[in-house]
Amino acid sequence: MDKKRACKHKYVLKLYVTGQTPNSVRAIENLNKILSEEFKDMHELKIIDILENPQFAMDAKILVTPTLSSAFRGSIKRVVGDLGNREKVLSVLGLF
Amino acid sequence: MVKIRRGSQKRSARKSKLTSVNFKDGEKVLQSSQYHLRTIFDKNPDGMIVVDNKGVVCFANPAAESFFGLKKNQLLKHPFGVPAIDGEATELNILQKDGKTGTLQMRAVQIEWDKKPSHLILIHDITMIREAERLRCEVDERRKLDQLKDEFIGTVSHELRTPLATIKEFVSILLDEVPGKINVEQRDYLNITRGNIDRLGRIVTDLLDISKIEAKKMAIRKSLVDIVGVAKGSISLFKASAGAKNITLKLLFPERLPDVYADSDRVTQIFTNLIHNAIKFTPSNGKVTVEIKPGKKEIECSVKDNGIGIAPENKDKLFGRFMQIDRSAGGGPKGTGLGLSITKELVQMYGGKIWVESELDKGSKFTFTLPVLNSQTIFKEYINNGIKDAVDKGSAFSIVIISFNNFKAVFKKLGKEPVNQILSDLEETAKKTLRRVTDMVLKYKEEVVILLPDVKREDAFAVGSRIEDAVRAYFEQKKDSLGGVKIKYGIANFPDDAGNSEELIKKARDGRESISIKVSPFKSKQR
Repeated sequence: MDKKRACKHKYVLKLYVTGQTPNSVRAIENLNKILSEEFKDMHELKIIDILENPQFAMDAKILVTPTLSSAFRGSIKRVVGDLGNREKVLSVLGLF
Repeated sequence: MVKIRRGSQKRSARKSKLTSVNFKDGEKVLQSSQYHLRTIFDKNPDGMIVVDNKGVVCFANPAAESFFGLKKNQLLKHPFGVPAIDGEATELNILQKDGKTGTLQMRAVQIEWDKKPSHLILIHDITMIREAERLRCEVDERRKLDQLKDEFIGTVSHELRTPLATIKEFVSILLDEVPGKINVEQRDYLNITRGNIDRLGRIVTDLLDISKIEAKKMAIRKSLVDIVGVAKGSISLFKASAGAKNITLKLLFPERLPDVYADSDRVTQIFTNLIHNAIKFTPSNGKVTVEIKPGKKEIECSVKDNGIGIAPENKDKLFGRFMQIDRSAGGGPKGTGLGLSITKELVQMYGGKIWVESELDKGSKFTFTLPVLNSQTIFKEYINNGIKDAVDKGSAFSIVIISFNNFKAVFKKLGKEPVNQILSDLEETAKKTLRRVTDMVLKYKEEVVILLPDVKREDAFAVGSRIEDAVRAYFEQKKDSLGGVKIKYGIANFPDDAGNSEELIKKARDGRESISIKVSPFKSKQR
């Protein structure tokens, strides 16, 4: 996937977490790192705490957290886990 | 030839039969292995799901269904997500039905499912483990804080006592007019000062006690305590304050009482705390009665007054810390609000109970119990503690056991009661020869045991010979009735003679070092 084309279409990323549990905190840190290093200004990130907004999780059929959901040109992809494995995350999102 | 042919025909027939059996068996094996696999998936308490490389669920076992609270048809085709891990475990959270957060451990491996690359995800519920860990951390944290608090109170109390003693000393010197005459007003002020120094001293002592109890550092010294003696001693401390309010202070006790196994200083503290309160909350011309009653397995002591009493709603708070139900009541110097709390802790430390019965305006009755242990329990506990102490301090522990050399003959001749009497007399005799409070004499079955904590072997022999002299003198007195009784005694020492309590007792019982005391033969033999 070439990054220049991606610039025109922003990635809409949603990260579902559960409060301040260790893996939620880790997922946010890992994701921010990936985003700042790999593709700046090419994304829109929303962090959704399912404790505060359980309905969002239900609507999106989120079963576990952390789940990262990415919408790009109509295709939705999801990654489960603390996003510590950068290659894996990027490859699932179709960025690698 | 024929035979051979037949043989080969038979063999080939057998062969084909075997193949068909093998085929059927194979089917069976296949069926049964399918059944086994199904069982493993269905009955596995861990959740198992398979997702394709878009993260959509294409297989789920019943455990996974119940984890997520979804039926099979809801879970299949569900956009679960692709696990961003490979082999290693990761933790996930799940929102449980009760709104709490559950914790799952997830492992994922890449597999091929319906010829497409997929992920097998194993899910293990570790909510309880994480919760237990969290609780343990909390408890540890609290314990650390408590410990800090106790150390702080301990240090502060200690540091406060030293200057307090100096202040009191110099105020007393001023009151004694050592530096020069003081006028009436000055004397009044100094007296108030001294009263408050005493009060502060009591508070500090109470705080020290509480912090020691909290830190479980209060040394539990136990020996046989004459409870009536302790009660008498405690009451005598209050003659003046009871007299000032014209309060009658009485002690009721039965004639024979077993000793309790406790620390006489602490039992005194329990009594004085209760009597102090009773006098404080009883108006002039009132009555305070201390009563001691034997129970089955304990001794019951009560302090009863006809004072202001306690309202029912305050009874439970009474033994709490810093509790003073009515600060205006009682008059006189204010307490610390720690007295009853300490009293309760002390009673419990020695295995007793404390409670209160009271009616507002009619009076209160505080009752506490102290267990009466049988001599066997005390004996074992005392020896074990003695040895433990000796190990801790690097010192020694000795025991002396006095017994009959010819018990059966004596028992047959004299009977149960006189034998018991001899043992009681021996116990008394031995007690009189001992000089330290920590030494203890116990009548134990047909023996009299003398326990000597912190006593070396050679010193134990000195004690032994003193006892021998006393016992000889006793039998000399009783030789008319007790002729023929043979007494022996043995001495054993930890760590010189024995390494543990059993060995120690055995060694002392063996009485290898024993010296028989032979008093004139039985009367029957004289006849």
